[in-house]
Amino acid sequence: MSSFIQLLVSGLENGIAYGLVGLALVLIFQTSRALNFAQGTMAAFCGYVAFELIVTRGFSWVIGAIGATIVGAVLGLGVERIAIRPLLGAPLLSLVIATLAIDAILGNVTQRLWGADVKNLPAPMGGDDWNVGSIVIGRTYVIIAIITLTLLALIAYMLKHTRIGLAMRAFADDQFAAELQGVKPQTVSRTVWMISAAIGGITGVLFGPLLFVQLGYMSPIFIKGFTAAVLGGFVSTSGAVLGGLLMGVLEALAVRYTSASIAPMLPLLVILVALLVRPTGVFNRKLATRRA
Amino acid sequence: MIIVRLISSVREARRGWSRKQGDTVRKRTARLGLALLAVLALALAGCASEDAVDTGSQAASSGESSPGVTDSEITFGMATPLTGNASSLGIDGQKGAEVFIKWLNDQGGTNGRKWKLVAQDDGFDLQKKATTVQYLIQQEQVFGIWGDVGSTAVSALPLINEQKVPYLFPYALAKQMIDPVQPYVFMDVPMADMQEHALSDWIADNEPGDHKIGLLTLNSADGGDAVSGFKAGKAGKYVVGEQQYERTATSWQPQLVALRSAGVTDIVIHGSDVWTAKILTEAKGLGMTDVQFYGSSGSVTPQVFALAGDAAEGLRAVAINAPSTATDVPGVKEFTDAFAKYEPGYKPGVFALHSWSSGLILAAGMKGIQGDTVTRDGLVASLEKLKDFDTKGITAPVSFTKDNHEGVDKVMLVQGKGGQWVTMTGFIGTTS
Amino acid sequence: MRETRSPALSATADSSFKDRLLATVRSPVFIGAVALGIVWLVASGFKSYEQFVVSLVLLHAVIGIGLVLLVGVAGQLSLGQAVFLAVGCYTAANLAGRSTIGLPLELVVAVVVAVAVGMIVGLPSLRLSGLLLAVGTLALGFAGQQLLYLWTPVTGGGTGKTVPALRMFGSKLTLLGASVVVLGLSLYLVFNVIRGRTGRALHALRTSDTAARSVGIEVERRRVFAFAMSAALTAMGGVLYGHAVNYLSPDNFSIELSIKLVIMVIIGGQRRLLGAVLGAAFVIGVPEQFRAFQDYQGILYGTLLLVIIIFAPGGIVEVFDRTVALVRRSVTSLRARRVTVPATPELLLKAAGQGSTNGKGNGHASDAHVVPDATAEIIELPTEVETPVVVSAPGFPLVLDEVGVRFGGVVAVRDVSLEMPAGGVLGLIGPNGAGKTTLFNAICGVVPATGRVTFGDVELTGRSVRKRALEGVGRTFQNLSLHEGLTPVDHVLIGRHRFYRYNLASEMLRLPHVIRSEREGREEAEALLALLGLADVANERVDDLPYGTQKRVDVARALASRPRLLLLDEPAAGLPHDEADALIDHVLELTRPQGTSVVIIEHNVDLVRRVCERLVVLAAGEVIADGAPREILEARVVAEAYLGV
Repeated sequence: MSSFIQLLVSGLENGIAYGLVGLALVLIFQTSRALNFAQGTMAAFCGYVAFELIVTRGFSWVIGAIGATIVGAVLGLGVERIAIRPLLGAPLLSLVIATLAIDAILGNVTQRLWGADVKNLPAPMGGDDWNVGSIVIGRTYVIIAIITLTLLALIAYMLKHTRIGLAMRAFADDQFAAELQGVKPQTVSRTVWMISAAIGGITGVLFGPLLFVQLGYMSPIFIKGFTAAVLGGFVSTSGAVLGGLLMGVLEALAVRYTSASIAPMLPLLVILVALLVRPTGVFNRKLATRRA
Repeated sequence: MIIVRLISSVREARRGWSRKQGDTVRKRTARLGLALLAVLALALAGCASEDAVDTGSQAASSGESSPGVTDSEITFGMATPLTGNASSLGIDGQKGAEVFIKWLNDQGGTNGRKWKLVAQDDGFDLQKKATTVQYLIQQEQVFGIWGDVGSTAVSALPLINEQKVPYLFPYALAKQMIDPVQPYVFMDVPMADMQEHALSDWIADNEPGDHKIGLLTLNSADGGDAVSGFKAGKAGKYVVGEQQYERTATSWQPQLVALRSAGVTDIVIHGSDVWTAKILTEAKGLGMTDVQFYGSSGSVTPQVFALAGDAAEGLRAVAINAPSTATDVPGVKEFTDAFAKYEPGYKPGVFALHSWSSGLILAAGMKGIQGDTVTRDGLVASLEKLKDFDTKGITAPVSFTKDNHEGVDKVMLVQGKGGQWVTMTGFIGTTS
Repeated sequence: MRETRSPALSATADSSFKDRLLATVRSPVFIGAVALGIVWLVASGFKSYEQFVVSLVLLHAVIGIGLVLLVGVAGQLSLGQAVFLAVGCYTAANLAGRSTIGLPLELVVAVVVAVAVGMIVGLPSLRLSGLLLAVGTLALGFAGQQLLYLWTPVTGGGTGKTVPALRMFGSKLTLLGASVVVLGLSLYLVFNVIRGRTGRALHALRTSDTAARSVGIEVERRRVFAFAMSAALTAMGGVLYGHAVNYLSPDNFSIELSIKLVIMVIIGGQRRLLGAVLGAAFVIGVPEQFRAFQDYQGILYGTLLLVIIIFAPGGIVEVFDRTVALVRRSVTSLRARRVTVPATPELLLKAAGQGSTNGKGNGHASDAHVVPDATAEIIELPTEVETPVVVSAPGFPLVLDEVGVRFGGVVAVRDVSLEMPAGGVLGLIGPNGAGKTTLFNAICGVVPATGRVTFGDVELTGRSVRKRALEGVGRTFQNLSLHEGLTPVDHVLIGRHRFYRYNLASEMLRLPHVIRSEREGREEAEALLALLGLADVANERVDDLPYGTQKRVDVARALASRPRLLLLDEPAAGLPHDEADALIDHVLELTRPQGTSVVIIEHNVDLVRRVCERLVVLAAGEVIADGAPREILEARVVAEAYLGV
């Protein structure tokens, strides 16, 4: 029984991470109507930055994490300006290709700067895990969970109670009309990319100790975060988080009770079924008047 | 004027989006374009061929060296992942080869000539591998291809057989490379199943008592071989659980939990150093500190300790080389000294060491070429005469015959002690 | 889409052998064949590396063609094409060497399996679109890759599988030769599909699937077909790909590969077959050229991608088009303006008798006398109305019995009953939001409705939009629902979709009866367009036309389907009075002789008073008046409804 609970715990741990990434992706999609295929590489870049700050230059973990997050935000700004702004209103595939281009460029830059070998990043603030009875709960994952829930709350607050949040909602609903009302697409776009990339940055730092910083280490997380976003119908940030949790648990259970080769397929098939049954998103309570 | 028009049409593109999409199939430009297809295909492929000298015809007539050999240089090619996820392996191998070449050239090279390496990226992609090998053979006119990393090597086989180009010591644990025997392919790494078979025998022979062994392997070619190899050995009967993981795995907790419930006393991991380190870290987190872990040859790098810390203390592994940090082994000392001299600041791993040791074998083969001219067939003949070649302790002695290009069938067991790999046994083979 | 119309096909007695020869030589099929032949010839002289690269480009082009059909023409996203590639590859791996037939057998089996898988993959496309379809196909692609790891007997699992040599009937084939032939074949077949009824149907459903349905196109079947056919082409490319790389591993058939295939087509130009070839050349050729800078490959490649997607969203083909246009324009501007130069042999032969200004300012020398400014209002309608072409069919009595439409809690149409004798002109008026268009939608089957709708002795109730269209229900749209990027000719050809009766195989092979059917259709289309004064703009993109002209295109499309019941949704809206009157009068002059039933939704009171025999007034979803125009328009209750008094 305890191993079953451990299984659930590890599933939830991974799940919350997927949810965090999914959240970032949903934000981007809501405003730019883009699928950010560069998210994984952007996160990895920030992980390398954290490595540079913490390991190479000896700053504390907190400084390193903050530095990496700031770099992430700047990166988001840059990507938005170069690849997204010129493509305002473009079809989905064009934006996807633009983010893929950024992915290729950034990956190359990362390799040029730091080489191809694997770096280790220390775990946040100590790094010992907590034990509840015989169940182990990873410290890093708890931090991820706290960050995710805080972000959800902050975003919800921002959307409801701030001007920029209102602008974001209007923009997501109807870009054209929002523009007519004086919402500057540049501002909304910029803000959202900064936030999303900053989130990517912090995930890169948090996953550093778990996956070890190397080229492409964030890609599997990105893919799973992507599918989490799908379960939220790509419109709901909380839906993405819930979707991520579901995915994590399903994955853990599948590995345990079927085989590791079938396991990766299972969550995907769930997603497919979910898409077919409820295209608006399984965890999305909003009645969708979405533009596909 | 045309520039002005071009700019204005560009501006239009940036402003009005959907209006500028060329939806309509414009037949006239389609036809023009189809005719230009010929030009395009020719241009793209053709401009590469300007400097190429015809290397199509192979085997030198007597008195003529093979391509890749000038009066002063012998050029080898390497098609290996230099970008992408497998790049740390490819780059490690490349650096090892380059340092070896510098070291060798300082001693005068072989055959009165110095060596040169042309390394090209294959991105661990089959299609790119095929074009890269072709490119190296034809455009760079390499004498032979040396030191590639990855099972993509199999896709190069028809090419090198057709062009009769030696394919030397790729780090590719794919059975197709030696079975059936490829006349131009020479290997110096034992296959994954042989490695695990030897480990299995060793455990049964040297660790008496009851074991409950769990296998945790990558779902891949060599992963499958590893499993069958281990089970074919004497300790195969102790296997109580088999778990697999994917390349895209981010956590191994479910697999570890499953094995823990099966009550394992030992876990045999098959995977890279990075994955092994992660698995150990997670296992430690799950409190599985009384389990004896065994890594596979890919884990025998300094990285494991850098990444896993003391979770890797006591880890044992089956290695095809002596560890790259075991400077008590003369060959390894020579290797680390060379790196200190030519590439200080870079910590070489198992693939660099493999390039080094295979370089020693290759140099021996080159030196043994009969006759005045340096030919590919001459190298093949020379290598096939190699018997018990000593790589100064890095690998087991290497032998080739006409029917056996496998090179070695022995491995070594190593152990993690004090943040380093140390040798545990000499070179051992299978005992069953 | 424009159709070639070679003089030879007008089959007049005076078309000489020379004319026919000229026409054949200029046909895209011939030029394509020659181009491929040249490529084959020249590349055979290349050394192995270049030859290999060319072969790779060609076989990727085969895959690209499939994606052009799916993504560019049918407008479906698919990020899981690697699965179909795998089908082809593993077919080659398992069949090669097993039978002396060799390549042809591998191709046939690959196509059969791929079509089956493609249809399955195509099913989700019926419920998903855009982003969700992209994600769905992504998920399927990933699942497919996992399956490759599992299905060890066929794929060898992680160990991989070698692919035996390329052979046909016992003798060895070169990859180059095989690629050229397969590409040539694929280009021909797909080209015929694109310029045939299937291609038009796909273009139609991509740009406006509502309109497509309204003329009888089976949108769902076509979508699944698009997936199946693109799967087949990708698999054929896969057979060649397998022989090219000699060794297959499930690792290779990743999401990255699927995305690379899509990039190929978007960067090349997704709506054109040429785009497939250019995209293949880009995706294969560019990395090979970058070998000297391989340390910076990612940066270079990414930058190139970014530049293309931002500045040439239509792909490399767009750059081509623009360059050609620029060259033409600068060449034409060198000639004197008003001189009517006899038409130099043009690559494109235009619709009979008319000049064409191909988009903005792309004038040809021969068009110097035609006003190229597309913004000029073209009002003239031909004054004589003889109808050489059938524009509609006799109507039947239309009976609506307690028809109602609800959207959630909102009742849009409430128990509307009316009867209309065959052949009449009925006006449907009412304030905004009264439910007029919704009633139209109910009659057409676009929205689910309660009650009964009968047309003659045909029960329309419960039948799909498409089936009703086949029974003769035709309509125009309030928002026009035109097909972006297509021409008026295309719209009319789409309108008459159901009159093309050839099957897919004939279409792909462009059999004589297909050619004949297409020619007849074209002639009818041109005649219909002439009737509606659209001859001058027949070959221009509808997006570039003025609003009034666009409305006429919408009408032309509806008429092309020879409706028995023509529903006109606010035909006068947005037009100046005289133009509106002219249009409606003209349409009625065309339909009255046939006895077609016409229902018009309109706000223009003068217009309905003039042309309608009867008016039905709808307010808040209910019929509040029904009778002769004079009485209705003076009735108080109607005034109240409109003015809200």
